[in-house]
Amino acid sequence: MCGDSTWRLGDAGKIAAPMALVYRWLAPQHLDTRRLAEDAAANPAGKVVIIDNAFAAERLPEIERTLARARYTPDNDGLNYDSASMSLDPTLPLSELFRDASWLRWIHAAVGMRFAAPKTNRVALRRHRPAGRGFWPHVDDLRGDPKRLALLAYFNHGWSAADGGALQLWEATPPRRGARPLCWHAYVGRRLDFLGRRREVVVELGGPGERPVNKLRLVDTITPSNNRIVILALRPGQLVHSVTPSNGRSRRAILQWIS
Amino acid sequence: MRSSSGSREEARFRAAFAHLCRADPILRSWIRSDYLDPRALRESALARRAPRWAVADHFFIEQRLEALARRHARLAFEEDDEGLNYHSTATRVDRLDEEVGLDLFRHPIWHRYAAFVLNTDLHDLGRTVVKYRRHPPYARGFWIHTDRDSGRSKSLAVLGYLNRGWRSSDGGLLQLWEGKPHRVGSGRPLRRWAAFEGTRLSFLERDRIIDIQAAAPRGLVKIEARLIAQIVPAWNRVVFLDFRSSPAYHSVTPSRRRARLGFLQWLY
Repeated sequence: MCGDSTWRLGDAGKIAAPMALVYRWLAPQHLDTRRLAEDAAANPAGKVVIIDNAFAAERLPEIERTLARARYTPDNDGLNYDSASMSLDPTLPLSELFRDASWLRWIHAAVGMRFAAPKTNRVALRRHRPAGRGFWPHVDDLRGDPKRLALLAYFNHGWSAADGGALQLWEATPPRRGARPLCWHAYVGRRLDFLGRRREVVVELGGPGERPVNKLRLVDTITPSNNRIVILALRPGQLVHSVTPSNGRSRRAILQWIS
Repeated sequence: MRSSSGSREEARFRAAFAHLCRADPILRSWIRSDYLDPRALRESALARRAPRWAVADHFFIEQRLEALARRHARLAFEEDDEGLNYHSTATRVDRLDEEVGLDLFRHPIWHRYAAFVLNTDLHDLGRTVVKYRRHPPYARGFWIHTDRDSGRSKSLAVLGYLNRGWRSSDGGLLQLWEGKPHRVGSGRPLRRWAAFEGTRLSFLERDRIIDIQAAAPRGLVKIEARLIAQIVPAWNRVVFLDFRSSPAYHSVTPSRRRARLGFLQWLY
């Protein structure tokens, strides 16, 4: 599979390979999306794929420079999410990648999703502070903001499980009648330490709008390891996810949402 | 290889072991440079708690794995699990004087590498079983079970796959389950071992929560099994699975028309 020049992008057909930006940025073993799409199809957590050693090693310094220059501002004031972010400067080479057609097709194909030109394509650099309180369980595909794909690329050298900041994927089912949920408002401004302890929890799913009560069962916990990409297909099923609190280290990521 | 996470001394130990792996000539001759430092894999496994597992993709140097696959294709396999609810053929290679791959599979630092990834201990250093395995086309699948056994119990398994272009629809998926005590009155049927002898385990392809008599060290034990992972047996993929921290219940879904090739190594 590695270096296979006939790589296929899902239903979108073949692309003349060497011209595409993904060939310059991605590690060559990940250019063939068929394998990734099969992983996504098999994943009981939903159409999710985890890609380790994702970017080509020679491109990592460019990403590091971009992250080092970032000036973050809090982006979830008053909510049960604790992070700061900034939009990716469209003049940077990295921005060119995230808006390139080959990249957009690669993301879709990696989770087995038919390509459609994005209506919106948001890319942000995000930082969780060393004492980050975590992210409440939520879905990204909110009413009025119909995202269909999310991509998370992590750049945290030597991240350990004990550092926290893990991405959690949950299976959601209706709760039993009378089940008492953990309430969103009770945790505003507090560390979400229950996320690191519980494998099952009844919660009000993330706001700030509607907050339906769901019973959640933990399916996977993913460390934000350096040069790891996670792609989440947010449709047809909604995908409930959260982030555990951080324990003393700043956590960096590049996020992309496609509607 | 087990240690508590977090202390400075612990970090030094991990760094020293990573250095040892990066410098080791046998590991360097088999493992791609991305994985010579096993610390990221270990942290992925530790974050998962129970069962504790990690997947490494594109793990081996291609030429080495191709050589192993060529040899694998010439081997004679024998029925491995006759009369049981597992369906595969295998040839055990760890007792042979010579075989492709044994320089790695017998290598003490490789054993330590696998234990390090899973943050577990090996109680019987040097003891290993290595099987090259082939599930025939239309294999019936593997019942939900743990590899724990009574006596000198296995610490961990390393599973490697040799299947190019494998699709999830080809079946043969490795499934990992969270096992909870069985509750009477769940409304789900209890899957009984005896009822499925010699039959395809098709329910594994459908059900995400199964009440089942899982195969355990002291016979069959009723559990409520909840599916948490399903891994495609793709070319050059390696799975590390720990049996010390939890039973790590697992199974394999039935195959369709393709033979499924791989290897299995147990460390004790």
